[in-house]
Amino acid sequence: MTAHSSTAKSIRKLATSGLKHAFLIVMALVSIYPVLWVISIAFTPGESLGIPNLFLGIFPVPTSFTVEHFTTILKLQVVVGSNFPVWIRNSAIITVSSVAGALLLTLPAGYAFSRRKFRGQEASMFSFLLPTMFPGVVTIIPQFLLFSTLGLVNSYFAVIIPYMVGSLSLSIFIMKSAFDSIPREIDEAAMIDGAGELRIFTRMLLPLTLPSIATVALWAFMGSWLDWALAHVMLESNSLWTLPLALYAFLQPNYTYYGSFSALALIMAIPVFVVFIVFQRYLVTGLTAGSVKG
Amino acid sequence: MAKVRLEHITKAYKGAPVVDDVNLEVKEGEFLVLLGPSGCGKTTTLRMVAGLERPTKGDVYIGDSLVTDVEPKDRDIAMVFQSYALYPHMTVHDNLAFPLKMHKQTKSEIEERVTKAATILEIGDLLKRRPKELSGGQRQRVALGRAIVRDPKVFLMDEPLSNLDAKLRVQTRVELKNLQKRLGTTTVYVTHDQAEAMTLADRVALMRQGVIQQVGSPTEVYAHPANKFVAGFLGSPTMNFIDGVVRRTDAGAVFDCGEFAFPLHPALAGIVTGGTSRGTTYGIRAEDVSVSTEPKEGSVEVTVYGSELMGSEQFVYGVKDKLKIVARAPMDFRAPIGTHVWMYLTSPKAHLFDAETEKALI
Repeated sequence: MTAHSSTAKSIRKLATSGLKHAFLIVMALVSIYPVLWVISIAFTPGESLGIPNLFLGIFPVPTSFTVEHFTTILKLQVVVGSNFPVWIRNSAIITVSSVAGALLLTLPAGYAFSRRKFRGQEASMFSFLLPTMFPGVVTIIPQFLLFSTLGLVNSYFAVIIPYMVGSLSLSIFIMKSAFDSIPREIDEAAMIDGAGELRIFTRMLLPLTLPSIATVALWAFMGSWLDWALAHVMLESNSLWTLPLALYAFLQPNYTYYGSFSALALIMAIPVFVVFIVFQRYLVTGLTAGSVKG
Repeated sequence: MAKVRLEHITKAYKGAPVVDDVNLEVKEGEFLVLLGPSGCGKTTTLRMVAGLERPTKGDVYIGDSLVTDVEPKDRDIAMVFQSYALYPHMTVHDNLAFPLKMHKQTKSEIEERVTKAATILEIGDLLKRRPKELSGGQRQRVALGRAIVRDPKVFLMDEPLSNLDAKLRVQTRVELKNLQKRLGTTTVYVTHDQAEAMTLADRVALMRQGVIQQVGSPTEVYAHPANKFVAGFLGSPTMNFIDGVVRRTDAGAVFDCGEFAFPLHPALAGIVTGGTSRGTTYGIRAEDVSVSTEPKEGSVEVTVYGSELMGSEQFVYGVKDKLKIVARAPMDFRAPIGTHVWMYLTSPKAHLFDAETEKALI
């Protein structure tokens, strides 16, 4: 009787786990399929979106292999004064500045909210939630008007500043709870050992919250490296184009350069891929940091 | 090595004092224990010495200098926290080296001192590990190491042994005392554990509700408690307290608690000059109560309601008209629950307290 029911139980267990896996495999395929498509088009000669060969009847593979799209991109001048080195340079400058700026604002702010007491602390913490209640697109037009009043449209600042503050509210929350999870006694021990506040911040709190810092940096990175909408509005000059704007340029109303488009998309994905691989270890803990007090 | 002096130290939160007008002087090289129940203000007092809290009123001196407004880092003190507060991202070596680095010692000096401290505390083979790879006892040693490595003027310790298991705690207690005497560093140590205070302290300062009740050597405060609180806080089991009055009779003074009376030892009788005293509390420790299965002149008959065997001795709990009395008896004393025994409460070591002020009458 018991043996029987335990067999039934293990069959049920197997079935549930099989279903789970099947579901996950399907979801994984759905999300990876477009990527495979882009990869195969990037390496297929010609500029059509055409159906590549299908391996096993499902997986897209290049009909014949070429790297011409990549070499084209490197040489290509889509419009005057705008080519690949310019896009890469703009994207790099803007992204690095945005990430650095975001960290420069977030880390001390998180520290202040965690370690100091000041008037209006709770109110301002709550006010950070407000911008997260609206979709980002809503803010583009007001931001454009603001920056054009300031005369900053069509400059790096027009995108760096919004990128910097884009994820600020959530990032400050993350850093505050990360700092909160470090016992005050660590600060106090360091204080007695001879460290000043800045030293405690840099030598104790920052190294102990690396996972959260990585999370914050990654969000800032993704927000600026991949953004098209804000850049499209703010950056008119060809010489200020970032990679996503260049990517868009390959999609012309009358003719679309799918091969080059895909190749550039792949190039753009490389840093994202690398960053994810490098920070993967931190990210998982970073996203859960603060939820469990250690 | 330096003395520590607290002058009229008060710390109040939202107007309510947690430390109330504390005056205390810790002598050079002395091991002073701040003892008291939780919430009595002992840790707050320690933190004011450390500079982690600013007194609402009063001044702190370390050596001859006024340090009330001096930053913790400039007070030349070291502190061991209850949680140890080791730096989790640093190795044991770097934990020990950190205070030296902050004080701009040279590299060779740092290595020399770290090695020396590690040798003293026998943690030389742990230097490359991180705190999370250490046992509780090892972490405790590293925390001590971080305190001694800089050779500060004063050690401040906030219940540093309370996270250790009972056996290790007793062992570390002895080592700690030995270490402090060898180094000769003035130490202020906070604990709620009276056994720890008695074994470690040169002098004990007992605190209650932010006020120092008594300062004295462990034997002094144990044998001559200044008030009922001190008498009750020190010693295990707690001292027996019996409320009543002292009455003069022709045969000498007796202590009368209404239900029964027993003779007062002549050494105590002198406190009442004539007639009947006002409300008085008689205090006597279990070890000063003798218990017998036979009645004895002047003893009190009680019903046994429990006994605790401690090893070489046992504590016998008797009850007489709702009043519970505990006495120490030899291990082989037989007193089954419900039987009657006689407790002899007359002793020169007993104490008399004013029932109202709770102050000792002798």
